[in-house]
Amino acid sequence: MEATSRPAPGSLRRGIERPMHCRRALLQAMLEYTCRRPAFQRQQVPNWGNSSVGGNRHVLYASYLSQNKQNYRCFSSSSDQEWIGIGSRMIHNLPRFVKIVEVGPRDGLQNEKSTVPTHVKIKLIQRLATSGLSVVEATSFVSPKWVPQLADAKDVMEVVRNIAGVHFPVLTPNLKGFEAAAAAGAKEVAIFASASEAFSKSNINCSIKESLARYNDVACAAKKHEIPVRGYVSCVVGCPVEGSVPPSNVAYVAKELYDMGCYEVSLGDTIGVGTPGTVVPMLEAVMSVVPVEKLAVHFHDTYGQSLSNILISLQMGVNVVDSSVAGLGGCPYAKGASGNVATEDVVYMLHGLGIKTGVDLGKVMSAGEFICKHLGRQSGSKAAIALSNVTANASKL
Amino acid sequence: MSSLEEPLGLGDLPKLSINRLGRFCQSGCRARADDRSNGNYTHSNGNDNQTLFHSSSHSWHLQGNYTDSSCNGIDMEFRALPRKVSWDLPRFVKVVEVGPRDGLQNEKNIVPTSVKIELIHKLVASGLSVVEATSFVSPKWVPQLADAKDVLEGVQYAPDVRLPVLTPNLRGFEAAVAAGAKEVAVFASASESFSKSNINCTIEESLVRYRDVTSAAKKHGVRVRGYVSCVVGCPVEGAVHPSKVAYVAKELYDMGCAEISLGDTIGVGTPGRVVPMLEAVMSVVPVDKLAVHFHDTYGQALANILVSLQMGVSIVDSSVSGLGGCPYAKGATGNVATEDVVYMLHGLGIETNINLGKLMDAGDYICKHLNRTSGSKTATALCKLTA
Repeated sequence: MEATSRPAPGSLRRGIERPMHCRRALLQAMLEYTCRRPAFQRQQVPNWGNSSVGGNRHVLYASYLSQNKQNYRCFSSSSDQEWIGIGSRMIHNLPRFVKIVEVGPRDGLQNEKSTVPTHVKIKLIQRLATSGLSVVEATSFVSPKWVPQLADAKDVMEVVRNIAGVHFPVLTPNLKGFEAAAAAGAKEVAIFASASEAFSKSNINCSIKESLARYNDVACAAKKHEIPVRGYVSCVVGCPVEGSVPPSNVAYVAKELYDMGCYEVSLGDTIGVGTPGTVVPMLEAVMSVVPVEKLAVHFHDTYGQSLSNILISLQMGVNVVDSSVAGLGGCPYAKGASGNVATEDVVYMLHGLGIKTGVDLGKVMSAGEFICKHLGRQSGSKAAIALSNVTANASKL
Repeated sequence: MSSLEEPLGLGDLPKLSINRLGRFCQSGCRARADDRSNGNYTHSNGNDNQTLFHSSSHSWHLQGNYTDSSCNGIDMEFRALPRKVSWDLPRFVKVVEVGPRDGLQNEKNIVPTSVKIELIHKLVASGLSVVEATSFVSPKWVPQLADAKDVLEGVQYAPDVRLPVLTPNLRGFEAAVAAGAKEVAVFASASESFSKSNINCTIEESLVRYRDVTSAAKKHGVRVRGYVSCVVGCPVEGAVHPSKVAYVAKELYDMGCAEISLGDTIGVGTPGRVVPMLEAVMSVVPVDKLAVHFHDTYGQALANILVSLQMGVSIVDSSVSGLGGCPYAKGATGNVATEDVVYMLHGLGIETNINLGKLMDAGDYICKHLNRTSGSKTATALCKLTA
């Protein structure tokens, strides 16, 4: 389902930077876009005629079908060819490649009530590592008092650090955690700050500034050891205590993390309340102080909004997405509600958009099946359930 | 605000200004004058229902170059936004509720007529103006809806509430009109194989049947809603070409359907396929006559709805609590949940006239009766919010 050819990023004259009301500019943009595309994807520019509906948007599509009937037919024989039409800005300026950061083994498992045996965690990570995922968050070096599920961090790390070709960031809330992680062979660490003061105090018992000071120590130590650091910002849209969170707060924290040396900053909608209406201003604010290629989005699907939030983020230029196999990881703020977005659903959408991920969906599904069997419950991924149960050729796409 | 019952929408954002940034900025520089936080909701020419959301109107700064900022000594370096996502969304979206028909029709246990009627009452009370009430098909095929006549008779409302009912042929149409129906719906497939396996005839044959229905409807002054199924994929054929969807949509529109609902029957669509399909259809049917009916079988519905809104579609079909599974993937979900859709629309600042709380009550009611958890993540989250 992947497109065989896409215009190089930046090669498109962006119609989206031109005011929508400027018809001539839009036509110009479309013409340039047409010329840059490979011959087999070129289509005639539709008649710039009048549409009875009114409004410039509709004019684009007047008498399109008759002009392009031939083009439609020529694609029909190629079942793998992703048919791309002109004028659909929404899906043409998307990143060509999206990196998926798998957080299942850590963010997914950490709130499980029953302790998952170390060997099961390791097997899960191994399966995920062979599915094409390049980053798998392995565990967390926090006090077992707070997160008993991940008390075996050292044991997990000792095995997975030998898996080649995949990065395994581990959470380190402070210098002590960092030292334990480095001693256990971790080659990448992650730090978590909140964009909401109230959440910072209730979740990690200190103010945002205090947490940033702590992380600065971690970042300095990591620099000495040449260990890359991934930064997370939580509550980027809403906070379970404060309610809405100003985008400026998020930008501030993201910038602080970036300036202290984080190679990537992951923006997390911790309680899943975001919609594109709040995600866009938040991303705009952050993108004004951190380059977009250093940003990741980490949406929770608690309100079912994550895929649309991910889509809008891709349209904004983000090309790193965090997700959790089988949607592991509930929401501690809404009992019984879901948490992380399922990796399988994300990969399904990305591949459907013609975006490469390097991930083999079947192998991720099998990792998901493995852990769900162990946990004794159904997958949180709709795509995984559908693909496992589909009859006949319903999935033949 | 600590209450999260309503989605955080554009209106909840505190005034965005560089002053806020200045608070955190060590040098505490003064703000730039360029504060557009009140939002440039520019209305493009034409359409009443046009636009709403220019994201750049919420950005702190719209122009690319800030190195000559009048804000001296600022600690932060502003970057030009790599791209501006500027898209028009409808100001108002009509949600067509299909729960009582599309949602319930595959339920194994027969739902009593009184429960169906009460469900429809509650849905209408939440502000939904179009609720697909039932279907006048042979009880042999859909036993769940054998009480169509009684349901319709029990739900007479004010003229501004539309209650379309399915009518697969002239006979069904006549029964519907006799029972008081003022709007009917017809269903054609974009896939030949699905048409044959689902309604036992070719696409052309079904269109002939529906022409009879639309002619009769015209005579009776009854409105007709057209559905196209398998607009992205077919359980038999696989991928469905956009030109086929455009063809069927145009036929339905030309024969007199007031609205055409495009259904991703097996939920396989992603924005990558939805966009070309919509482009094809929009070239032959005006976008304001189009509705989208996405199934959430692969979790893709909201993303597909978002991109449809960006394309100009302003009518969305959904089912309360996500009622209605997928007969082609056992155990998989089907319809997208109305609560999830409304949550997203409200979060985008789009009006729907729907009260989410009352909608959740309707969902609660039917789920209690069916004895299962809601298929809506929004409803589940909002019911279980802890302080």
